[in-house]
Amino acid sequence: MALLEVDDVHVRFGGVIAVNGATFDVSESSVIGLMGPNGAGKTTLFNVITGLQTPTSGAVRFEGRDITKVHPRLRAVAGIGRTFQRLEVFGSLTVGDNIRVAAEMRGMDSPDRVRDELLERVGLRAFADVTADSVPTGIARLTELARALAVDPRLLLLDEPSSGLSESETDDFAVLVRSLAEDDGRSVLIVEHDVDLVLGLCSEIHVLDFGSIIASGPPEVIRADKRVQDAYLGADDEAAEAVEALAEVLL
Amino acid sequence: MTDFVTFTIIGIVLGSTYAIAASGLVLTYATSNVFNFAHGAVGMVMTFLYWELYVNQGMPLWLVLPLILLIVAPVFGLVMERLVMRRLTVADVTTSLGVTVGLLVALIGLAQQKWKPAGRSVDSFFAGNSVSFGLVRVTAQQFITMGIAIAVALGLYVLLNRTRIGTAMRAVVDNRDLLALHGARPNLLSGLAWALGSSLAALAGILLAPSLSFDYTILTFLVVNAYAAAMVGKLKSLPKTFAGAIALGLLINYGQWAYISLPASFVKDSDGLIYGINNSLPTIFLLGAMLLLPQDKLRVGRIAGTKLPRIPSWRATFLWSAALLAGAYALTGSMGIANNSRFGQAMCLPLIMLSLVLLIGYGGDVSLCQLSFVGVGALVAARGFDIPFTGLGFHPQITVLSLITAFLLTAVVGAVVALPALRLRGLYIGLGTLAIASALDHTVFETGLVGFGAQGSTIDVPRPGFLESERSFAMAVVVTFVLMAWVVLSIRRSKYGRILLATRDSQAACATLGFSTTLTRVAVFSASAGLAGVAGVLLAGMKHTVGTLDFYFFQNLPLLLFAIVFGVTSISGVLVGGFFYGCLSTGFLLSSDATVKNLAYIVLFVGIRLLVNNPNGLVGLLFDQSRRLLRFRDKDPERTTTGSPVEVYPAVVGRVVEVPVGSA
Repeated sequence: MALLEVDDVHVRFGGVIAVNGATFDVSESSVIGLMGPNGAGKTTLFNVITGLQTPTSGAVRFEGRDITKVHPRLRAVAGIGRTFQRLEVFGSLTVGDNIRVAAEMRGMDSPDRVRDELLERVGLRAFADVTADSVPTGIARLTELARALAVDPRLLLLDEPSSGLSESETDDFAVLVRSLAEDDGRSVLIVEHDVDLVLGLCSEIHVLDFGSIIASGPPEVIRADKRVQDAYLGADDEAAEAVEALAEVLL
Repeated sequence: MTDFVTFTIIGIVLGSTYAIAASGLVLTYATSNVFNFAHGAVGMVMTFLYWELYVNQGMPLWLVLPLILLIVAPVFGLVMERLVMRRLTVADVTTSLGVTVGLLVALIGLAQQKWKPAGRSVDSFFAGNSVSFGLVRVTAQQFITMGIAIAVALGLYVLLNRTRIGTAMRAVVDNRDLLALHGARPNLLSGLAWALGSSLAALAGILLAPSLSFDYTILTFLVVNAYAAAMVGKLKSLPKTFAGAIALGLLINYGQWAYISLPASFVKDSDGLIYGINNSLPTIFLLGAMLLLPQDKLRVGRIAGTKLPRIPSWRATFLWSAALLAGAYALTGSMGIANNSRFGQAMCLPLIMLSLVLLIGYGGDVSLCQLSFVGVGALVAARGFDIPFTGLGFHPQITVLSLITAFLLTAVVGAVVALPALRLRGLYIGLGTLAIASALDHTVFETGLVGFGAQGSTIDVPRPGFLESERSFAMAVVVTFVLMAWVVLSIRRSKYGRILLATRDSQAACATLGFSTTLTRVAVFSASAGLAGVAGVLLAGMKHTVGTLDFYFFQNLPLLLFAIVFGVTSISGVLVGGFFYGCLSTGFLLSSDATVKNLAYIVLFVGIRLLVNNPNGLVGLLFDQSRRLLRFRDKDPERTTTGSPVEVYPAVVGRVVEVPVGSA
């Protein structure tokens, strides 16, 4: 049985179909990727899984239990953690306190130790005492990640975690995510634009376009898939043509 | 039957004026996302102006009405929009509440300054003319009022639904920038809405004027009834608002009818309770309408986090406390009885405001009934306390026992108030708590049963022997302030302080960490009420006699305003702000002349206007500046970081994802 099962989820906003029958699983200790162009429905799907968005139809199961109508807070208690594409750090607390307060909220043992260990693990020691609303975006993303880890989730949803990270930071980040799955036994579901990162990190990838999953499989399958190339590269071809056409007019 | 028809007609007429005022409120809210607390105050000022021109200057009605309704009021609305409201569309709730409350207080200050308290009245339109239907007479004024309400309803409907300007107006609130890209002029549109809204407030005031005494707060807050009507329409729907207004008008008049039909002995036996309930019908209606509002949603993608002042070290806290105590000791030693009494009373306000630091400064919630909690505390000291059916209790006194009782009792009251209020968004919490404050005035404080007795009456409060002198009691107030400040600071330092700030910054993030913010918010509201209750006991002792007017709900507004302007996020902020407010009220160091107070209100408003989005207030600003000037060695690690700061997304951009809070 998979840890998380997303079963034929549809989300409609008025006449717009944001998610159109998405079905996939996340198994234990795996890193799964969700890819797709802007507006494909990735974040909406995340919100459905964490409970911030109620699906029009379909079901979400966690550890075999139907959680489609469960409050986000209780999903978190059950073991689903997440980070946000648009940062939701606790801006008036320091980076260290962001992590500590999460452990404190859940009444965990020795929140100070949790904070120190996680600061070390995500590499934010130097920022421990800096207020979270004045750190660079990449640091804030890592803060959110460490904060989510502080309550020890079994499944972690990362929404565009690498935006704002430099190339070398992204490499470190990939190592960290791998260790979350391999060493801790957590499952990770990532929404990401960085194609190389997703292909290098995930064991299985689902590609969304206009709300539907158009391809699923391991990285090498996805890389070779014609539809994926169209969805991602087609736009680039059009852009290139547009530039050429513009150049002709101007020159 | 005749009675029924008469009261129905009066009810519909009253409801019509509410409808006119409420539609102005809805119009401005719908186009600018700013709930204008000062809407009633605008109507009040325009009504006074109407009296000034028409009665006092003797100008003809055909000139006065167009002058006010078509020129003065709209221009005032435009100016308001341009100078104040436009910047508030994306501000947080505490700020926009603070600014509009500031405007309200300033307008009352202005009116009191220009038109000194005196008996004033205006005649009805076509006074003496009426039409009789059998035994029921309908006056010309009543006909006109109903006619105007219908005309306003139709006019607004056509404007909003049948014209391009109206469509654009409804679009302004969603996305100004996007609308501008489509060639509309959002500033012009919201200006138009404010002009119209202000004109409607004036119209409602003028129509109400003949049936009311010219009182600043009564006129201002009669339009609170319009708030209740607007709430029925969820601040959006005009038809529902009109229906709500008429229903409220009828409710008030049927209540009046029932009241005068009750046997006199029954009313007398209730010791003011029946009268109070009758007077609170509008607020009960408002609270009811709010309970029907849907639960607030969790929001992501909004501005989170504001930089708070640094927590002072224990050493600094200790030194400041010692300095304050020593200063107060020396000062009270050098002054006579009268000044010590004034000083002690002035110091009660910082004490009261400390409770707001916890609630607003740290918790990010807002309360406009804090002074009512103070009143509950004062009642414990002034009336003693009996536990029903047990025979347990104590006489009026100021002892540790009464302090503890006051804390617990107000904490319970606070929790009861918080439970319904906190389901809602900040704005409604503000409105709801103000309504509760008003209801408490009528149904608790003004009754003989548990309160101070009818408006104006007072109760003497006995002081313990060792605190008999003015100086010793004033010192007791200062000592309590220091102790309570330590309590507040310890909370801030503890894990509860961190959780509080986290709750304030992002409820969505708290939920995804598996934490229920509802309980925290109720606990903070309750604790803050408890602290206010303790302050109430000391205030009662300091004043010797306390009465209803000391806790009149209106005074919650300047209280909040002084706290926000001077800095509700720090102890020093409320110490300075509270003491300043205290000096103004008691005349300590300052003249107690009304002029000074009125001017202070106006200055305050200017202050809060300048402080938009600076939550730490004047004192916070001062500390920042002095640190910079004194070139304190900068240990701030922020200076060492590089890179761009966290992206801040304007709250208006992007879709907000919503789920019910705490429904699990």
